[in-house]
Amino acid sequence: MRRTWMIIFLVNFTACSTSPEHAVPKTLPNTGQPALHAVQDARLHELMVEMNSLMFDRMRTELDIDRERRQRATQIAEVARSLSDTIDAIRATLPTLRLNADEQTAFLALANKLRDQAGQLEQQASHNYIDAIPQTLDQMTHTCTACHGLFRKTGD
Amino acid sequence: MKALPKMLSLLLLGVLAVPATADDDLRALVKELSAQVKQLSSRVHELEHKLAQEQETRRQAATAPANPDQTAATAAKQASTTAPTSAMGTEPARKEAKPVTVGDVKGSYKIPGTDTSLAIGGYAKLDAIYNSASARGGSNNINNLMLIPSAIPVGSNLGEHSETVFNARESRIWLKSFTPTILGDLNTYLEMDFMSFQPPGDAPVPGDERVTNGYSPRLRHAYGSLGNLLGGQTWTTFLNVAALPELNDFGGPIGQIFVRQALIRWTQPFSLAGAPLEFQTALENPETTLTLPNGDRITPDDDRAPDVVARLNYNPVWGSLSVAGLARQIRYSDNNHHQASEAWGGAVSLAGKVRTYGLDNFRFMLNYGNGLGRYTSYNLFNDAVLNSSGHIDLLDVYGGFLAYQHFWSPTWRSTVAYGFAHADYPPFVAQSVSKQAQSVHVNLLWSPLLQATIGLEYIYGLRQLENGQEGDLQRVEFSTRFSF
Repeated sequence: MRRTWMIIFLVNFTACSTSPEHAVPKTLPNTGQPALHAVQDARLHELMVEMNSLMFDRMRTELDIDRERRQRATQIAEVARSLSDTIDAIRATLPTLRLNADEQTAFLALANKLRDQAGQLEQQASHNYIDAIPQTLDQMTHTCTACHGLFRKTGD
Repeated sequence: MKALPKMLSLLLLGVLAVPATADDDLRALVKELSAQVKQLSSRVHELEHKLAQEQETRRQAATAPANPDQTAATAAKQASTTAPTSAMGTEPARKEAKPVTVGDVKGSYKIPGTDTSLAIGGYAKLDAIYNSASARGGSNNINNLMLIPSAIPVGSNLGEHSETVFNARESRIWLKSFTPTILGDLNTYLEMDFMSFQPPGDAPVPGDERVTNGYSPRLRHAYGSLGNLLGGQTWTTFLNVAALPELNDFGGPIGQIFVRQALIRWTQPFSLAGAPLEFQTALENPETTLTLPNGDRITPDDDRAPDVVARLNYNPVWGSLSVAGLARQIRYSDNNHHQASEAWGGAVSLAGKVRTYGLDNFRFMLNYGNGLGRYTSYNLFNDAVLNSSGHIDLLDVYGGFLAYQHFWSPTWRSTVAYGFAHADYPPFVAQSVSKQAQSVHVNLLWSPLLQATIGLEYIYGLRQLENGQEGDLQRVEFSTRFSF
């Protein structure tokens, strides 16, 4: 009787619980140093803050400010391009990460998503669609957070 | 008791059957979505086909006049069959309205049927000011609203003791356009505020504080540019406007270059060893201001040569640096006395904005020359002195400012600025002329939104005359600025 209950419990538990494959892997330790893509992401946010701070300038004419906005947008496009290259390099390290099949799928999906977002950001900045940039940066932050939550070992 | 294992077996089978049901649900959902996708695809194809047909019809209509085989009557008939008529049936209805599209620069929209992007903006600003001394005239007198060094009370010009004055005269409106052309970008810009000089006196004038506080608009900028060529009224090329500190006070630190005038300018970007540089040269409106031996000012209207300015800009990622040179002909003539005198003067200006940590930045400007005169400190010093025999003696002037801006957070920031200006007069000039002036500005600004800034500022100004007399002015200014 006790064995029967045990079987039922185990069957239900394995059906409802999350897969142990989602546990944080030990393959991406926190080195304590900011990764290149994190530095580039921080630079993108910094450039956006600089661009926003132009709104405080009431002495320069709007045409001057537009010119400076275009310069900042060009810099954002350059950093976004570099970030795309960095993401490609991260994807290339996949075979060395000892992830299982599900983790590899999730990792690639997030890396591809971030790469697409970086590409989109580069396009927006190149075409001077300044108002669209903050939203794309937010989306990139969400992707980064999701990826780090799944694959980055923290708190060591 | 024997029934219990059977029941448990049934329960187990039920649990195991759940995934099968979920699978069926998913299959059904996929089928449904697949059907929807098919339906949408066919709808898209249908719309694309319609659009292509419409475009072809429009293309034919557009080329109709050029087609020799098609008569005007045919074209008219075609037009009558395609164009809807008005409700009265006698006039053709207006063309189908096209949606307004986003322009090529931030906050702009395209003028329908053109490549021109147009934008309008500005801000409404309140300045609530406490002055330790009034220059009389309340908000009619801009000396009470912004730090003008020559209005710092000293000697016999002490004004009245303390005043509070509220005004919104710095409120501003601008209009800009942007059109790409084969010769480069064609830009235009127009900007106005309400800081114009108002009629003085106690009579009920439009700007009177007693009733309506109406003030005249004033032209600040009106210029256009095509590629590297700029023409119109704007900041003098001698001024690096990026170096000016962010203050509530409209006057800014003493010692700064501050002139807007009509000019024609060429800007040539280039790079040297990978460094982004820019060379600017301009011809600008000349205006001589002279000090008479008794200390009074005259502004003769007989300038011949335009002011010539050249500037080199370096704009790295960490800020902006510029060095500028100015050459001017200072001239005076008097037909009544058959007198004429002229002299060429010059000046240099080194200015910049350097990022230090985060958004923090250091700004500075250092100016020196015998042609600096009206270009600095709101014409505190004139360009030259006219001696008793009618000859011009150029005036050596130097000045500048240092300012540091610290961001306490992305929305809170402060600026501390110190400015100074000094002139060396020949001994024959009256002792009542201004010899030097200094200023200090300290503020705390808050921008809860990019379009809103609220802040408080303390301003101190000190002026000294040639005879050694000194006077000062203290001011506290609370401002709100809401942009659109």
